[in-house]
Amino acid sequence: MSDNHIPANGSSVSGSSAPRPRKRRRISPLTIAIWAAGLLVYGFLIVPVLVIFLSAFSPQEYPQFPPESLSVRWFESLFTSRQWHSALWNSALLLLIVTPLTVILGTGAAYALGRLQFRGKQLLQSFMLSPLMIPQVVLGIALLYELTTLRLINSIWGLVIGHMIVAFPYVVRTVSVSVSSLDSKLELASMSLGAGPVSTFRRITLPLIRPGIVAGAIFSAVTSFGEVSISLFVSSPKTITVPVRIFGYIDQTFDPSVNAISVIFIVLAVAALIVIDRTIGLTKVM
Amino acid sequence: MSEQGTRRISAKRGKASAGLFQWLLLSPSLLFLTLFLLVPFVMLLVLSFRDVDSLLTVLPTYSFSQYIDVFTTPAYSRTIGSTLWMALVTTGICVLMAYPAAYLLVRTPSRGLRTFFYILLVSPLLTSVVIRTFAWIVLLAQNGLVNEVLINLHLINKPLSLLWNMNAVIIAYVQVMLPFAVLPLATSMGEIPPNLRRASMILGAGRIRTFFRVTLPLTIPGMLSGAVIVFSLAAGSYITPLLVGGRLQPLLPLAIYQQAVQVFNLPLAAAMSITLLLIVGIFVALAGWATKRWEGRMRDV
Amino acid sequence: MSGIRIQEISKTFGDQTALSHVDLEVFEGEFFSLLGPSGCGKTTLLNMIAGFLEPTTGGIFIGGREVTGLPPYRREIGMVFQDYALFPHLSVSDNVAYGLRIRKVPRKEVQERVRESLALVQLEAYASRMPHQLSGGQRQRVAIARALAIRPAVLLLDEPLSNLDAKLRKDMQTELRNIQRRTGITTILVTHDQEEALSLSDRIGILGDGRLQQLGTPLDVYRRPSNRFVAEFIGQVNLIAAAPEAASAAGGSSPAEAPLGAAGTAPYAAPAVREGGANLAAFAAAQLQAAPGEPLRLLADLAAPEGGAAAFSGAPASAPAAASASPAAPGSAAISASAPGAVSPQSGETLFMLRPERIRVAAAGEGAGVNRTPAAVSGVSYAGNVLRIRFELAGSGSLTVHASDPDFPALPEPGQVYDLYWRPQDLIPVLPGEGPL
Repeated sequence: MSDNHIPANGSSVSGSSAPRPRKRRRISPLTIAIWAAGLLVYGFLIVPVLVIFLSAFSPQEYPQFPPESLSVRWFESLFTSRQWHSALWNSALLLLIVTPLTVILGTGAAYALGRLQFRGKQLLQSFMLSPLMIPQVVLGIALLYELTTLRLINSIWGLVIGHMIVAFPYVVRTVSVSVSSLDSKLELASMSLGAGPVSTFRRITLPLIRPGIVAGAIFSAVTSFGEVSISLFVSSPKTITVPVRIFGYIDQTFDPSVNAISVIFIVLAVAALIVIDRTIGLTKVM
Repeated sequence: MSEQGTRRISAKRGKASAGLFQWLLLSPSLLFLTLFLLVPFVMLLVLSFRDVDSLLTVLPTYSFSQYIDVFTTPAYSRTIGSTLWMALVTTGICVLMAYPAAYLLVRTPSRGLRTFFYILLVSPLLTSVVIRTFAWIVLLAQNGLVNEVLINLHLINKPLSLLWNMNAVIIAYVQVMLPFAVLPLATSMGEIPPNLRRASMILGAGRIRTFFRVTLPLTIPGMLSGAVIVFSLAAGSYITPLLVGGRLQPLLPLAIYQQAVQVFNLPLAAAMSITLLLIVGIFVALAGWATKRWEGRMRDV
Repeated sequence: MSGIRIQEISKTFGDQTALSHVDLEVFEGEFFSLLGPSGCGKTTLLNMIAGFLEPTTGGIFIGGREVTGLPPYRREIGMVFQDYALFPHLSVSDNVAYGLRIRKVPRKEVQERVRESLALVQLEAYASRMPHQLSGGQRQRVAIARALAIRPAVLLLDEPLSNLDAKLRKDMQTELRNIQRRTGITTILVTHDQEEALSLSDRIGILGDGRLQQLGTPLDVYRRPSNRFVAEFIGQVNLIAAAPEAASAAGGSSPAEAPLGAAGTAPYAAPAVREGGANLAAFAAAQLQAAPGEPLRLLADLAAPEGGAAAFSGAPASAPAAASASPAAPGSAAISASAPGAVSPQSGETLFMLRPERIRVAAAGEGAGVNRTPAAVSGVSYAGNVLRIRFELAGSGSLTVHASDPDFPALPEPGQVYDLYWRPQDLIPVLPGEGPL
């Protein structure tokens, strides 16, 4: 052992009793290595986002590094393009239909699953969360086939259904977190005071699980707004959403105004995150 | 009847009506998921056994011909193999990178920094996958940022072709899916009682040995649950490979997309879909089995 | 085996001081307890000995070797945690073998020592179980076996019994003490349970408010608490503030200079009274009045060895009301003798501790001795072996008495009047506030 704190003999045990300031333990190379690795990973996560910001404000089609000047021309082209307008309109309309419907379905399901006890509950739970795991291409093709058979394919309802399927598990998950941290004795107390299950749910349960519902609504809105895998299968030229339009632009041509709309998306996402953090706490829902 | 008796009966009735009310809350979701998740899959399963004629018209006959096609055509078998390989590599890299990221998230002493890390982790999840993939095109294209920087630094003379290959797909996938691996891992790391690490250290294990003997074994459930999500997303998405890898990459989701949208051979696409679903299902089941076994060792299930 | 020297340790977190100038030595082979209420800094001190925290100033030596600055895994310490901290993924024998495998002990010896350690805690039959299959007491014993298997220089116990139920705790206390005797290992126990500390330890260090309040044997800290904090924290007390009686009342004898304290630093004047061959000092307690307007006269034997005021000084305390935050259970520890104003007695007043079990109870008019007063029962709480009786004095104030069960064939009725009496040496002067040793 090479530690120089060890005295050569035991004399320092009875040595001076005057308090002496101690050097803090040095930060070990291991700690530095772990932090370096961790920060690299976070850097890897954030670089693409930075690139998008850089590109969106760059005057050239392909961004320069370091940037020579800034411009907002891609934002301008965004606001003057009719195609982007209709895509934005479609996306917004979808979000307004999908979010409340999914939140109502998901909240009811999460609450019921939290309270009911029956055989096969685990299986039902996995079934409800399964859209998170099922390959999106498979989900898309299955829905496409069914909706074609039902002749729902050229209306907005195909998109509504697709988005709801994808957003549903998020709502179930966030609301479940709130339900499981809710003491069921509160509900029993309410019932013992004479309230029926419906008014107990309305007066006691709903207010107490509201943070989970808010977070679920935000997740559902964000999912619907960004959904592309299933939308590509079930959208028609009349019902093109923003992500589908972006996909088209990237796939066929190269339009830097995609950068501009991406910046708007990212800003909205971070804003949503901050709202979640303030209402329920980020660490709780993820 | 005594007052207590009446109360007990009304409580029982209340419980029964609460149960009824809860089933009432559950039923719309059940109906919705049955109609638009279960039924389509049954339809897809049926479709996968249909035959097609030479003009790809679906015939009213049933056989295994599509599956025979999927498993015997060398190009398709290769596609299945490379899909599996790519998903496993992506999962492995994600898990490796997730450990230091989760460590920082759990151990950072500052609350502000932790929130910052969280935002870095979660904001990609809220950003459309098209946008995240698009960033990689901007970075990796012939005239993209990486090439430009390398040329400016005189490390290369002519641009490298970084896009349109499997490596580009994996790089983009890792970035897109990393948060899914980090978050469950961080949760299970945070749940380890701090005294376990202390006990290990006081028993003589340094930090590295403590990690391999205590932290790693105890985070296996969190690690697996992240790996399951990453694997199933990597095996099943087509947007990212399509945009950064190109249509010709031998990946099952891309093949399905092409058969469905361009070739219009729906039964073949259905058979491929069921195959893909099985691959993912087997991986999920294996991971679930491993998790259960491991957790069963540590506590009563 | 080796002793532990804590040298002038201070620890601050930001601008919060957790420990200040703690200095003590634990001798080789000793069972030492760090006792104190929660938040007193005892866990901080233990964590510094273990190496999980570094002191802001000061040093720690184990067996003559300075370990300050050494990481925990180089300190050769055995530690038992409050939550046991058994590795849930390892079997009982793998848990016990952990430290040995880390040390690359040969496989055969590992087996041998695991068996040995498990035998020490009588768990040989459980070697292949997983921790979750054990009861709390068994987990506790595995934790002890694991800590001892590496044959550490010292054993640290962090509230190891607090998660066990009362009966099991008693059994484990005995077992812990037996294991310690058999192995002879220097042991530090951190606890907030005074009974546990008193019954297990060779010596006890009492921590309060980040400072070492007293260091001594169980007998020392119970019978001769150095200050009010210790008196109130350990056991129950009647605290009585009293002023020396005027010289004229002392039967004509001249005021005696009574040298007090080991260092004899605090002389103060109290009239000496010769009584039965002993020199007694007379005090008057304003808050205890046998009749209205008539302060109770206390005769204290300040020279008695039993009540020897080891650290007593009659100087008025500057310590504020901090001592009133004592953890003594409200209602049971009668400190009624000290009205709020008596927390910081006026100059010249002395604070006396009178343990409830030292007060004897006799039928009215039959009390014997120099200290005696009639008092009426105001409340009785029956605890089986002991009766906790609260007495009101006719004038003002009250005293709590612990009487033994056989003395009262029938429980005393409220309002019933008895004589209370105690010996002069039962009045122990204590420092009024808490303070550094």
